[in-house]
Amino acid sequence: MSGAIARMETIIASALNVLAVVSSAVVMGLMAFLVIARYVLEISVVGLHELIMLAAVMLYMVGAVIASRKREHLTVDWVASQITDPRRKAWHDLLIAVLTVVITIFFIIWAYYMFTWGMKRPQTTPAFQIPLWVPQLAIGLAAVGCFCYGLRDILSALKRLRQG
Amino acid sequence: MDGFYAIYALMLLIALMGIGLPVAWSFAGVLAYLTFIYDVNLNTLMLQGFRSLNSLVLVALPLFILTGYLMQSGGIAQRIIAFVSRMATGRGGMGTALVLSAAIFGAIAGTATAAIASIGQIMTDPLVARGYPRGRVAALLGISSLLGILIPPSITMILFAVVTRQSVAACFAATIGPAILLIIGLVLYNRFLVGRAFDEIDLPETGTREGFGRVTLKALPALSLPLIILGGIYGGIFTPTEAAAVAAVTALIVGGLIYREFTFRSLGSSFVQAAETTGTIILILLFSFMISRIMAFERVPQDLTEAIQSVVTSPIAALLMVNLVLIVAGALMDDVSVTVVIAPLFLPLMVANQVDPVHFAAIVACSVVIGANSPPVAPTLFLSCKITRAPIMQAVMPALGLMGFVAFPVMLVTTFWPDLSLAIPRALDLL
Repeated sequence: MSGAIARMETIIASALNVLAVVSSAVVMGLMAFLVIARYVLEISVVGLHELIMLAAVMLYMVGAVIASRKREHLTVDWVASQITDPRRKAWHDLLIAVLTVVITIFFIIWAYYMFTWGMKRPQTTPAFQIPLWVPQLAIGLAAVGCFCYGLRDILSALKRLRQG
Repeated sequence: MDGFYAIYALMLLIALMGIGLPVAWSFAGVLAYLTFIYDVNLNTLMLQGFRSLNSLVLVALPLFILTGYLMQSGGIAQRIIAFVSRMATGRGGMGTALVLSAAIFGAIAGTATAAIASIGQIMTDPLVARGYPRGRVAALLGISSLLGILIPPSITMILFAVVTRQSVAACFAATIGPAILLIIGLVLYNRFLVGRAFDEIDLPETGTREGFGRVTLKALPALSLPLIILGGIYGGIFTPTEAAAVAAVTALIVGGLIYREFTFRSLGSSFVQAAETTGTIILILLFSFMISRIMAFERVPQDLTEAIQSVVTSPIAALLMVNLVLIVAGALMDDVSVTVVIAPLFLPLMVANQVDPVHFAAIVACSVVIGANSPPVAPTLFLSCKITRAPIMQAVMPALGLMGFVAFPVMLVTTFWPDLSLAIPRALDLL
């Protein structure tokens, strides 16, 4: 069972990394191409900004999920660094993980409201007619991803507490 | 009453961050509190955040962060440091080299982290071998690295410009004057300390040393990066976002084709790390956008301005008060939080006191330099200690000295001499 979970974790991690590299490359490449198109090719490419923004929102949200996976979100760790006892450290980690899960539930709810509102009043981008729910979906998925990693942190803290 | 809710929200933010909840979730927690207090329409709440996020100006942020990581893995950092170390000679030369390296880093990447990681790893041991106490190296690196916030391009100034709806190029230009002042101050203070606080040892040359011409030649591609970025932005060739993309592509070409230091693994790792750093900042920004919307809708900044103006009548006292708030907030929060929370909250007060928003941008940037090195939070100083392997307690006093004698005076001069920050934006026709 734990082997299957570990395998799934590796697959998810690799998929997130690939998405991060691809979305970064698309943002960087298309933006640089805009400059080349303007000064070298002397053409104006319509709609490229829409694709850049699509990739950028995906990059932002994939980055946020990667940070949750690696527990690398920006933290003021002054209190945590003062705790040396492993059991107290596990209790502190449990508190932070529980708060994270509660807050990410709010995040999911807000994203859900945005999504359903967008479905009632569908909007698309001007040039390529890309539905706006596409980039918004990235935010929803990031909310769910961060929630899942919060749950993982709760389980990890509980396991350490049980082991004493 | 609304003003009190804002204060409770700020206290909640500090409390959540204080117990160690990630900053992004602390902001989301405050947002949840505000949605209950003000009975916010949830249908459009996240939509407003998404609209603010869906901005082309903001795309400069991940691209400059990526440039910083590519500089580290592509060997650009080493060439810059080698070049500057050969340039800066004489009394306090190694300390000067550290400051100038950080300044050049700042002119490319716009964050403190890249400068600390690269310069700290390369220069710490040579500085310690020359007699610099490790704690002093950590403190000098911590403050110097924040030149990345003052010298354009600057992530902090992009955030300021986005949350206050100012011109990114004008905010970039506003911090050039204070940055020059800070560089001069750091170099002079370091020179003053040599022979007084510690002795600089002259080490004999060992092995074959590359000639200055060769070091310069190797550094030229790396040194072309700031010229491309700043020349492009202020020459009217690129927007800041386009400049960021050109910088990242140039760093990729220089590191890959000229220095040939990239491997698939290091390149992939740079992209992933940059995405991760971007994700942490963007999430904070997303929630802060929504908080700012609620605050603006409830007229909290205006109420705060009126409340402060009823007590503090002189503009000088108001400026001093804001300086103090920024320093205290900086000591309790990280630089991103200070910029996205304090800037929109106090901007109306500043405007009411005839402070140009672009001038306020420079004041906020200077305060971040102090806040990021002020305990208990001091994220930059702590990172610097980690990289230089200096005990934190050995770095605190030198850091306080640098802040008291250099960074704080620079902040006061920036606050009370508006021309220092406004002259360059005016000269460039950005105001």
